[in-house]
Amino acid sequence: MAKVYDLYANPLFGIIMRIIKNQGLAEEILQQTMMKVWNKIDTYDSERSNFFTWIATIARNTAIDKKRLKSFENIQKTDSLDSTVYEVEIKGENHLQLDIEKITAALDPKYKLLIDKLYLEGYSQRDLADELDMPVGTIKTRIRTAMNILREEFKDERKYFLGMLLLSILILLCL
Amino acid sequence: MSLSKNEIIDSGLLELYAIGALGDEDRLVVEQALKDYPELRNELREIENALYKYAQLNQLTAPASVRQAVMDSVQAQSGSDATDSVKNMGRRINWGMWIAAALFLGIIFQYWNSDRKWNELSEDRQAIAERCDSTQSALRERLNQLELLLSENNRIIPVDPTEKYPGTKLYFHLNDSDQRNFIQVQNLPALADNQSFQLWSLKSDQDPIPLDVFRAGDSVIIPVQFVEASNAYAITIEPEGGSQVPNLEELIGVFSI
Repeated sequence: MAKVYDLYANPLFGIIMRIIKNQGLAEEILQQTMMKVWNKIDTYDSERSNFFTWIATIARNTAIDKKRLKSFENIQKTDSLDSTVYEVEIKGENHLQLDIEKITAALDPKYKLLIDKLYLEGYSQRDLADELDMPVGTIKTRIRTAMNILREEFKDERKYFLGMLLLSILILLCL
Repeated sequence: MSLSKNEIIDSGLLELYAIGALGDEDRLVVEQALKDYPELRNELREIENALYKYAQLNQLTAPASVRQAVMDSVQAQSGSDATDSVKNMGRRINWGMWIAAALFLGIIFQYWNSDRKWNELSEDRQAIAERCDSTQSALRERLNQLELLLSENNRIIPVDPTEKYPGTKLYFHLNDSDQRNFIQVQNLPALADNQSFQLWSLKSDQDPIPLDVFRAGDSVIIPVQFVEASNAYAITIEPEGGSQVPNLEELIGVFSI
């Protein structure tokens, strides 16, 4: 379980924080998510999705369920500082050696907005369509386009990483 | 609704499926398509990998306390499961131990009870054997006495009771050949606790010779000493343990040979 946590806790925490926008509750939900993963591991079907998709769905649903509770509104009213912290952290943190600026620059804001809302904030297509006053069909089309862009960008990242690796090996061989 | 492989790819359903934003109906369509077109799985994996990287790009560091809490919960749950197993095993062991203990106590009780019964039976057997020996011995003695009494050499002399004890009824069995004498008691006067009967041998020109001292009920045969050339035998009542000189005032009767 420690390996699962170390691999996935931070990406999950990013998703949970964007939905909940409350540090304490997000920590609680991350813990609940991990325990659900631990208890439901035998229900995971690798034919249907990869592991991260599965646990991200659990995290998103746990956070959304929490957000729908009436008690959540009360906490939000009395604990508004977390939103500020959340904004600061989002901008300040990137532990991977990937260039988020490059990715986000490649991704048109209208696409990034859809991915963020659907994937990171747990919106349903219908809710998003209503909020953006946009047809569901358009959302589908744009999401597909956005994902194609991301896939290409990450492929480039992989190519860049492999290139750097080969270059390092060549330098070592020359030495 | 069944879609072709390309229709699935072009529809954007795979992306929404990976994002987790599909309704139940569309999700079932995608899952059916994944079964029908296994090659779609590669397409889905690429989308999922891209989303995972996007999530990594947007990740936030969870506090170390959450990791510790998760590990503690997992450990507690594992421990609880293990404890449950141990408890269940403990219960089975406990039941087994109780049954074994009950069996052991039962066996011990059975052994103790058998031993007690065996001892009781042994004691009974011992008592019966002793009574049997005693009876056998008494019968043998009585048989001997009867043989002597019925012997052809026996002379049976009735007692001559004194006036003081007229009810006395005794027979003196005299056997010169075997040199054994018996008194057959049929009626004797009552004795005080500190008194006994005593037999005397009477010879001419001699003091009475003290012989057997006895207490006897009715209808018994008492072996007594044989005295050569005795002219008569007499019975008196004497203090318990007998006397060396007969108390003639308490003379019961005389056997004249």
